[in-house]
Amino acid sequence: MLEEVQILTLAKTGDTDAFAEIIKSYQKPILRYLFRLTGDYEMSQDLAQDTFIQAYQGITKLNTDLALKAWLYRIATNNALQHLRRKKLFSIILFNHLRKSTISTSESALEQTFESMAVKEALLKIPQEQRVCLVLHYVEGFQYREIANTIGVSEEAVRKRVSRGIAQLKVIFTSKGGNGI
Amino acid sequence: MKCKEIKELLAAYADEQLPPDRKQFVESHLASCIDCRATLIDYKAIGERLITLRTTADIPEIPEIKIPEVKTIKSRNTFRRLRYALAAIPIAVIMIILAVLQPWVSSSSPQAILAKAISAVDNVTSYRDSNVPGIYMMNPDGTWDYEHNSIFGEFVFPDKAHIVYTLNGVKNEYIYIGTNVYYSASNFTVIFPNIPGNIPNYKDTVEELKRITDLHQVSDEIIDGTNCFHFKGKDMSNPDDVDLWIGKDDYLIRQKIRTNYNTGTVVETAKYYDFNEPITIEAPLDSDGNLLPGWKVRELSPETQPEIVTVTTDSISGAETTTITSSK
Repeated sequence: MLEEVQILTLAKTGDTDAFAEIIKSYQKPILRYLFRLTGDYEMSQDLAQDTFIQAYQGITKLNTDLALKAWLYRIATNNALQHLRRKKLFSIILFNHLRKSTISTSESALEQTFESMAVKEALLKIPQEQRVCLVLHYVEGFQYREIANTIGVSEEAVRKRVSRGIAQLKVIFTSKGGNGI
Repeated sequence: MKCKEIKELLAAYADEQLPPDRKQFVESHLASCIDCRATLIDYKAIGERLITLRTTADIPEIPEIKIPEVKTIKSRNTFRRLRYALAAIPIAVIMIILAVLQPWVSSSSPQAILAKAISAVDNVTSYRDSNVPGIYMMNPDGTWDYEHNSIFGEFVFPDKAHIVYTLNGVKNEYIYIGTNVYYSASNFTVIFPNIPGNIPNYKDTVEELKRITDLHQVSDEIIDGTNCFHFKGKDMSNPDDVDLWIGKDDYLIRQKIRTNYNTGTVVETAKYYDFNEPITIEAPLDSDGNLLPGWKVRELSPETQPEIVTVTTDSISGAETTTITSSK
């Protein structure tokens, strides 16, 4: 099994099999990340596809100072933000439309689903730049410095965005009744 | 240091992302401030809730991205190399030859007709459309269903639109006039854009054409009285087959049908009509300039953040609650 650095070196020479390995390793995390940012599964698939195509086209020019992971997440982030800026009137939060009364799952699993939906719904309500930082940190496990490298801002800017994002989520959760948190 | 400044640092403190000197600042403040300690507990709880999203149980499936599509991209490098080779020939000569021969375009080829359809959008000043798109809906058990909804729209460029959106029998209506959006909505959450006039329309549909591959022409058809070219192709970013009907005289799209090529399900049917007809779009106001019953208005501005408006109607009492979340 080749190490990531070896795979990257091969991919940079145009080795398609090496790039296929990169896709294999990162497609799930990137798709999950895009889904958390956009809340739109179909669109996330498109954006993931675009991300890997752009990565393939740009890999020979990749600056070795930036880790492969950070670079892929940067492309994905840019694609998501571009999409979100273009996102227009019908940005509907689908989670409001719970209709099915037939429930074929355990109570705890159901609670978990509702909890997950509430968090996702809240996340989609905060500004994109803050959402990117929160998802990268809490969901993808990036440190603040890694986020700064990935999205090309200072670590201080990341700290502020995370802080403001969390504060906004607190307001949203609180406004849902009780302390909501 | 004031509580406001400390609270800016609390999330990073909870995440152990502060440098030692600032960490010490926060800790000395926390020792004497019950309010900030309570906020810290809340922030930690929110962080833990976000961490629960690391599971992917709610994502329907993670399909494999097809490697052959990437390989197709690779083959384009051949053209890049060819381009470098051509650079050795004087550019002016190449341009003259290409301008005369236009080897990439045959005036009757599907690509040429599509290019004309893309150009023709500049001639559109108004139109109407009806669209039956599908969207994924999440069920309480975490499974997903594909649902159809309907949109009727009429547009007068540059900044007027009237859109009626119906999902599961619930009707929501929006009228965009300049920087104002008037809306009559219930049980719905909509993120209003912050850019006036930034409304999905025919021009977006035309943009989509640029993604269509494997384009080929089939027999002409008449759509609502207009003689049309009929094309079939694939949307390279969706698993969709696309059927397009483009007017033979004006190159305007009259109909688009998307079919999921895995399931054979029609996922979108859109019709475009009344191009450049006189269409009147007026604000829902009475003769005194007051909003008609059931309507609200918001002003859109590039300086403000998008606002999220949730309108909930109680099924028993009919009472309506509006929640607005605005990012400052």
